[in-house]
Amino acid sequence: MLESPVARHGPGVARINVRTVAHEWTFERHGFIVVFALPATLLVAAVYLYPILYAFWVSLHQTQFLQLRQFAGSANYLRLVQDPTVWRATVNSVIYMMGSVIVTVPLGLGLALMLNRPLPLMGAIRGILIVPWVISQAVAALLWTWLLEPSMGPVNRLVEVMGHPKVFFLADPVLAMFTVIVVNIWLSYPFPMILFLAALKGVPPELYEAVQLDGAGRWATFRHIVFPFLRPTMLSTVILVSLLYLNMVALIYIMTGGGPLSATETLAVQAFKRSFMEFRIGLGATLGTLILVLNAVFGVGYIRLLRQQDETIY
Amino acid sequence: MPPVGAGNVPVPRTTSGRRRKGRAGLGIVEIVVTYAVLGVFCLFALIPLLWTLSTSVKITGDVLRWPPTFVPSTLTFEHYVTVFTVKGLPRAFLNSVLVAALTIALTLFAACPMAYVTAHFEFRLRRALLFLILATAMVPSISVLLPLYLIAQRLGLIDTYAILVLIYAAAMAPQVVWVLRGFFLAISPDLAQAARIDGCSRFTAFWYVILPLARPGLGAASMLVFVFVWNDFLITVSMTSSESMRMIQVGLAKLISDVGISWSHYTAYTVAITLPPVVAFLALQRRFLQSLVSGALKG
Amino acid sequence: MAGKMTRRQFIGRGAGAVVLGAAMRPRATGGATPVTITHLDFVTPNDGSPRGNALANNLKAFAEAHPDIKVEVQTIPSTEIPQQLLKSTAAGKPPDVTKVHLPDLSAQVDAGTVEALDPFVSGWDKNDWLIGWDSTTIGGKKWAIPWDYRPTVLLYRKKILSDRGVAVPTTWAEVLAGAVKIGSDNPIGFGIGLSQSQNADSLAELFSCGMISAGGVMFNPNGSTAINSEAGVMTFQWIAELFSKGGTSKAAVNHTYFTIADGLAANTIAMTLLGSQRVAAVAATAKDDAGFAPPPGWSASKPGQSNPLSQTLVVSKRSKHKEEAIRFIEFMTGPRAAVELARGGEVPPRKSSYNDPFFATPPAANVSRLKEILLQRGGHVSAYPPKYWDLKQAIAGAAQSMVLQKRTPKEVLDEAAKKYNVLIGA
Repeated sequence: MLESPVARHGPGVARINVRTVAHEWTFERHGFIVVFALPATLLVAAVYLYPILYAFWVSLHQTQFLQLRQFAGSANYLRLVQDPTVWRATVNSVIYMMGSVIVTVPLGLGLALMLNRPLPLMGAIRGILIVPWVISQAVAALLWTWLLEPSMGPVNRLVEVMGHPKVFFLADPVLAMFTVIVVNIWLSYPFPMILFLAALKGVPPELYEAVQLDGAGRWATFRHIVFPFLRPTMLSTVILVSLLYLNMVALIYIMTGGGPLSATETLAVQAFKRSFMEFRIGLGATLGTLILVLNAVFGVGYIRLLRQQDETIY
Repeated sequence: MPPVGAGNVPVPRTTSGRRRKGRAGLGIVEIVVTYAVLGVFCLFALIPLLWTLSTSVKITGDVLRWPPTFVPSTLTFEHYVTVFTVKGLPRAFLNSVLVAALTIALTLFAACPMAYVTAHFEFRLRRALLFLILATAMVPSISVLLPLYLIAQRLGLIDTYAILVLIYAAAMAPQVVWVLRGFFLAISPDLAQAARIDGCSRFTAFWYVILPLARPGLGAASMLVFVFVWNDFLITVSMTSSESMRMIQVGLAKLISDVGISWSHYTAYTVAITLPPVVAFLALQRRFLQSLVSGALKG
Repeated sequence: MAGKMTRRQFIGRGAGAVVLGAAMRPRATGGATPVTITHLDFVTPNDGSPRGNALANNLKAFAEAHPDIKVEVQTIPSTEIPQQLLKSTAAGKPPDVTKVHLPDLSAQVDAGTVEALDPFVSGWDKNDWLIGWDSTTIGGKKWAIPWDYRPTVLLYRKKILSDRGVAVPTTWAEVLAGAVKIGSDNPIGFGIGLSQSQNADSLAELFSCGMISAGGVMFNPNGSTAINSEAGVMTFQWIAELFSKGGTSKAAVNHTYFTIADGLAANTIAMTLLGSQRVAAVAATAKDDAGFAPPPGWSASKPGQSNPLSQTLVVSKRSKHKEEAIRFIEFMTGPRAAVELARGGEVPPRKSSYNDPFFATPPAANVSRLKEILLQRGGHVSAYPPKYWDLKQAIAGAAQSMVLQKRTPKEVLDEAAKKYNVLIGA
């Protein structure tokens, strides 16, 4: 009879105990791993390997429209490093990303915890709450621009009715960044919520009971029972939302075009402009590499932050 | 053999599968607060869409006016008729649904096995593989769009479902691997071990024992893939050129032109493409968000 | 019974009608197989809009006149066209004919995606065009044929103006005074948009109108920009005063072409300078209350001028059916297609098109008036350079800086000019 791993190791179940999983160095085991890992590897490599290499190759060239003209080595990169607008865009990217992550992940988790309770109407409420996620960035941008429009939109009408002078949400540099972050939160909070909701379904209910009998409070229940189960999901969620936010273009570009005064021009918006509006694909590709590096830095950071000793979440 | 839960602990059966209120410490105050908070967020989520809905049923003259009105004085459904008849919505809708379904299938087919082995097995290239596959998702799509287009043209794959499904699946597979991995990590590997001791092959253990326990994760991952395909614009506008292959976001974007946005049609179209997925989610969520206890009891 | 058909009869008659109709379709003349050309546009035929219907009717007329040429229309959103042309040419499968917005033309010429049309149009009447033949000539070669013209006009709401006792302005000073009189909110006196979104088009159009009306030019002969000349500074000074004196809302810092047009339709903006292509859309909501007038001048003696924009048709360099493409273009820009074009709200480009009796009728009143404004105030069309998009962004950025950071017009324009000149290496 196998011992309960929960009883043995405690609720931090996300451990691979190499003693229970017989680590046989057999052909069969390796064959199995290869077969199971192959489809995903093949799919991603077949579609993306050449394009990614090509994109990097483009970033090493001087380009004219869609043609590669002259090999320039690291010239594009040097140029970018010396360009103050690139640094500003990097800062904007980080502000946009962090400002959104700090709200959407805890918000998604909080909502998931509440929605997990066996109360009536939860199904319908879940349905309502995911609606913003089903809206595309372009629609959200146009919709919210109109809603927030001081001369035509209902939000400012409400502000007026409440006795406050109109707020020019998108006309002020600082307020504009704040506004696009809020719209982003509206659009994307269901993403972590869906993931956490599914993860919570994996928490065995008898654990709740066991702790309840011990007389533990709500917060302790959460911290010691639920959270360890959620840790792997927490990691993947935070990485994925950050990825989404750092690569986001349409929402910001349509609402503000990067302004006013480049206050909302993130790296992704800048890369988009360079490649698709100015047709300078060399610089666009270089910015793309920069975005990749930024993504990777944060990814590694999250892994370090959320990993615990002896635990395998990565 | 006692019923097995995810933690391999014998599970006490509850009488109706539904908790009584009051257990697990849910007092009246808690319930009220829960509903209040959720109610606020429902408003937050819905108000822009209620506005969209309200605009879509207004007569054209009422759409742009100050002060704005939530409830229109005259109702009309003519914009929905226009959108369904001349703006190409039905065909685009069909294309999007088909491509989304095929993409979900392909993505899960590729990502599930990989997520499983990287969660329950230790092998040399595990970390490298995981990070590399994530790294491909970290490359912004605007960088790879042009080479993808050129290759697709060369291979004659423009205007096919195949190229769309391949690109979407390859774009989402890394993310789905990481998401599903999180779910597999919360399942004890001892379960598969027990099944193998009983004589199952590794694959059978995976398919019949582990996978059902990850059902919520599969549901969540499918949702993410679906929304990605549903909301995509750049990839579809690059890879399709004929009207019969267009997907919904392109049809929507065409309502914006150099003479302006026809808000009536834009909002009607938006409502028409937003409602079906939400309704589908409402209908299907029960299947995926069942408590895993009952899921394991059946298996 | 009389008047009622059974279902069987209905189906029978319906099937008969289909067969009859199929038998009556015109056969291709001669033994030649029809050539198929592809046309890339952003207007979808038969999509319920006036332009969509006009295009469908014109396509049908073309098919009847040229049964040996089949036209396949591909539509994408207008913002995607420049990229799509570049990409599809690179892949070797470009459309035969494309509708290109005039400011985007020189970039396509530079990129080598379009064919020089001189050999094909040598026999055309060069004087038959409302604006000179040179409007689509770059580097001495003819690269595109104008599809329509879009003069800049002063759009206004009649009732707001009459309620506030503002006469329709004819000079920039009058516009400013009227705007300030009407106020900065509910309604906004003059709609202006400094946003860098939507290509920063609205400010560029106003700015170029102001410059040209003052006798200035946007570009020097050597290609460098002259936006920081006296004419430009004068225009920016006007913009600064518009904001400081309360003639427009502070929200205008993030307004675009779209918000302004919507505001005019919603009666929350009283006046603005926009291209004529927006007139029909605003009139659809505002009906008779919407009016338009020629652009303002800087003094009573010097009437306002503008650079008309236009959509144009180009032939791809890699097209395999250039002859057929040119015939298509000739038809669609000529008198036989002009009436439908005007019904769609656009201004046909050839003088001879206006001989048609349709243009003397009331439904054509707007188009005829726009044609007059075009002829009198058409200014000159400078060749928009390949990096015009960057200049537009710089102009919008400069205006934002001037308004938000309270800097002087000369300062911000010098900066913007320098940025652009450095970019093009002039």
